[in-house]
Amino acid sequence: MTEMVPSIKPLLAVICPMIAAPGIFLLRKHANIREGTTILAAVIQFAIIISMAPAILEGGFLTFRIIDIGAGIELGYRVDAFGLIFAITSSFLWILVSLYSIGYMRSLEEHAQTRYYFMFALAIFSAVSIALSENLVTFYIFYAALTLSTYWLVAHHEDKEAFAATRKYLVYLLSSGWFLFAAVVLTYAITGTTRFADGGILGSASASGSTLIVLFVLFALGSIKAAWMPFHSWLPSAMVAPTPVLPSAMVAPTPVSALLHAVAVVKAGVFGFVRIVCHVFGIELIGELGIGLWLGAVASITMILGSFFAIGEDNLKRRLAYSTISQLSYILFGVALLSPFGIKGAMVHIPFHGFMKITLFLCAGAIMVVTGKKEISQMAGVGKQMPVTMLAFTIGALGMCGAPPVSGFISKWFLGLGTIQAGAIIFLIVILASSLLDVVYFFPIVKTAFFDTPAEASVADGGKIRFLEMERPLYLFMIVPLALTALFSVIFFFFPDAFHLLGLAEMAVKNLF
Amino acid sequence: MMHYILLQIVAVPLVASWAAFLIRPRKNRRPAWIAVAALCYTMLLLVLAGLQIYEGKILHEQYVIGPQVSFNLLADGLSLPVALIINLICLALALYSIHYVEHRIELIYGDIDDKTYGIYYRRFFMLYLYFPTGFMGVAFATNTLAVYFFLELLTIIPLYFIMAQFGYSDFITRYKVALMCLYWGIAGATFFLIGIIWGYIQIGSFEIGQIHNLSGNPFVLWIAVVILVGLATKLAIIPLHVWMPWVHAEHPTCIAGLLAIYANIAAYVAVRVLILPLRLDLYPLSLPLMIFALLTMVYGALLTLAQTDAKRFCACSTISQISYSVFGIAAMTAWGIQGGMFYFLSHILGKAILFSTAGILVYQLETRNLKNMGGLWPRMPLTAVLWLSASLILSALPPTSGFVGKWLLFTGAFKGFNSNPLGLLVTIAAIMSTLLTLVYTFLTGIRIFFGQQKTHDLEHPATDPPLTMSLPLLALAGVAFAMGIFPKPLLRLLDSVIGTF
Repeated sequence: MTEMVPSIKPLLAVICPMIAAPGIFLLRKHANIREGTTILAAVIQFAIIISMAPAILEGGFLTFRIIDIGAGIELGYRVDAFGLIFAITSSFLWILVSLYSIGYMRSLEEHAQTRYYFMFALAIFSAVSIALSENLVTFYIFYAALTLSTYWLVAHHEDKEAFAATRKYLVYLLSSGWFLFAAVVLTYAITGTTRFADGGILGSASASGSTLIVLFVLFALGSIKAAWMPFHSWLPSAMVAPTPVLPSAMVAPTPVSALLHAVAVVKAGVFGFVRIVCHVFGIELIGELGIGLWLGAVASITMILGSFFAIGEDNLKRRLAYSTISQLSYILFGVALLSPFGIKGAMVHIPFHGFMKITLFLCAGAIMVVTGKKEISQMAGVGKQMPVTMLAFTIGALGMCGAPPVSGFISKWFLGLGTIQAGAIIFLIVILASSLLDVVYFFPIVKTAFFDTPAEASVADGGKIRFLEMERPLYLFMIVPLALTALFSVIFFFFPDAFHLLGLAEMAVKNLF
Repeated sequence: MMHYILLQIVAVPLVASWAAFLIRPRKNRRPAWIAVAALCYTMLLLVLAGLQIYEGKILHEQYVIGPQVSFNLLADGLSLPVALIINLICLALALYSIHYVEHRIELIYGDIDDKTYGIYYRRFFMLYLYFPTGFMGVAFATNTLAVYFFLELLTIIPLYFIMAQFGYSDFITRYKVALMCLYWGIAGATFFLIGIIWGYIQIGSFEIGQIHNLSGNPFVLWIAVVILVGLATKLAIIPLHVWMPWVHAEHPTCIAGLLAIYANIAAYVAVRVLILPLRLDLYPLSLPLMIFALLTMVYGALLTLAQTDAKRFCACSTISQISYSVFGIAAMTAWGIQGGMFYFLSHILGKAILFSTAGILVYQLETRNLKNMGGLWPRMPLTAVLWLSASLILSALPPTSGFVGKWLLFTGAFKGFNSNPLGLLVTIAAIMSTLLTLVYTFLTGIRIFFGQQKTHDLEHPATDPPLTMSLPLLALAGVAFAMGIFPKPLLRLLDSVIGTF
């Protein structure tokens, strides 16, 4: 059943953005062709990645060895069901975010757009490489590459706020990277291998329990990218400067925030964490060590507190950032349950949350570009000016709360089943409470946008409502992608197996237990 | 050519040094080319010897000097790579010195007639050639007395005289610092000597091959401690690091890279003389040494962060970097020792590049103050690339040799101590402290090459240096990258000696 098939496909899939990057640089004088290159690369990459799914669904693995440096340092790709879920998500969303970036960057007449697209391609390259890594060394190297390539995206504005925020970003993520390195070396020293395996590789090692717990703590500290509390504060700061000189000066451009939250950095963090729990430690070993409960507790605290922090934020992007912190802990939470349903829920939450959160961020960006509004309290009546955008936002918000008919319901359903399967009813209460809090911080936005009357606009425009989002053709580059991501969030509810996502998750769980 | 190959490698630079003396002192570069030619020749010999050793042979040459006294040279999988890389750096820095020394002489001695100029120029290269002899001697020597002799040779002749005559400060300070270096060097070597004589009293031999007979001796730990104190002085381990920033700041930059070797080669001596023969007896020293190494790593890195002088910056970084290899060696596992040796080679390559790039900056900008540098990237792209590669190597990022070294040595440390809580914590702390290297190399690099242009810089617009300065350094960087991607041959050589004990 589980056969390893050497194949060039993983390399081809990963290399697409890497080939596109120099192209983007060379074509910097021709903006249209440059952006065309990005989109072409993204489409090809997605096609290659999705074409690997059938082979994986039959129970095989595709492998590609890049180089064996020696002494256990080897680079290689190995496509399995779980990695493919993440790869499909990131490559598909790259297409849409690239389209969106065209509208966003050009509308705002941003500087250094070539560097932006270049680094974006590198970030996607790193993210997909992380998804398809065969072993911890490859994983670690691309994890660090992801930090460095997104650094320039977050620091895009190159002003005081941007550098202040990115310093925090780098300090957190680089230290985290070094902890990960320590963990990788310790794993290698104990087991003599760094390759991921379905049952875990530490199970058969002759290490004492306390060493393994130290190792787990190292891995957890190495996963600060997952923004678990109390190591989360880099994430909101990277979105919007916390104590700005100008009121809520924006740090990262919005498509970057979308990328960070839905596809690359934070997602790679949780992805890596699930990888480590399932394929390095192994479910059984985690159970024996009794780590599951601790992990569940940390995740629960992050879920609840993240939601509370979100309620207190008036800036839309910061609120979304705290929402991400809370939502990603669902994934950690699902893994901590150590039950098949919980892990399945965690795995499908990676793509589903990606689609929903990217919708929300793209909407926030579109609102900012079109109306210039960043604070939720200013957004009265936006729903009438930008109906499509706010409709998409509502769909995303519904999904976040776990309400049908949006895909968020599916992952929460599995997570709920997981808690019951694990026999931990207290965790079921946590998940319900957290969903309730999601409603508390999302629905005021929807209500303000659709039902509140703006104080000043009606007078200035002679009482007429203008459909701002259709005013410039350029805006369509933003509106269409965000409508599509919202649409997909609904499609995944009715057909969770679109893009083979559910099938892959079932496959991954089957291999684990 | 294949006869007396090791003897030639040790002696040819010395012969060339005396040959340079025969050149009439004029304003030309002949002495430099003699040095380069001699080093090219020894480089060739080393490669030939290396090919033989790679096939599994061990080169052993014996020269009887008198009754009971013989001078032996041994090249195996450990000493050869060390000698090869060091010789390569010596060659690269000889090329680099061609222009640099001219600049130094002009700065120090000002307007002098051609003959005096020629004398100084010739003197530098004559002294310079003692470096390769000393290093090769330490690498190939088979008895501790010879090791002592070559270490002293390095301390007294090239280090003292070059620093005294071509150093940076005024006349008095220069000699003071040179003397300070000499005293520290001799003090360290004396501890080493006391240790080996004590060992001789116990087993009746200075041969490294006989040291394993000390095993089980009641004094073995004390002998080891005395020798280690001597070596720690060279390695600049806390609290014996005092001389290092002074000396490094004083040296002409073209040999500062060799000074890093001078300090770090003591790690090789420690492996040869103590760790390989007496590993099991020295086990109690393992954890204390690791802790000292950790302290030095952190302290050295913090010291580096505080520097504003381009040369002291590199010096303090050496203090920290050497302790990486000491850390690996102190773990006393096969992986740790291999990693320590690998990191030693990686560090001297990276440090030679970093120092010499700092030297290029000093040479072109005529200031040592890092605060006077900024925004140099557009005008000195090659220099920026050199700084970047040195930063990558020293920060041990893939795909450089540093990464492989760091990987090996920390794996070694974890293998030895994964069930010892203190050892585990010390190793994790050591890994975290390597982050500081990344901070200080890249932060300084960004300040020098990006950001605002400084007024000082606008008054003296600088460009990339002549190619004889930058190309050898680029070649060194190439070697370090190749070692990072294809370390297997080197690992096989190291393994043939270290992996089997």
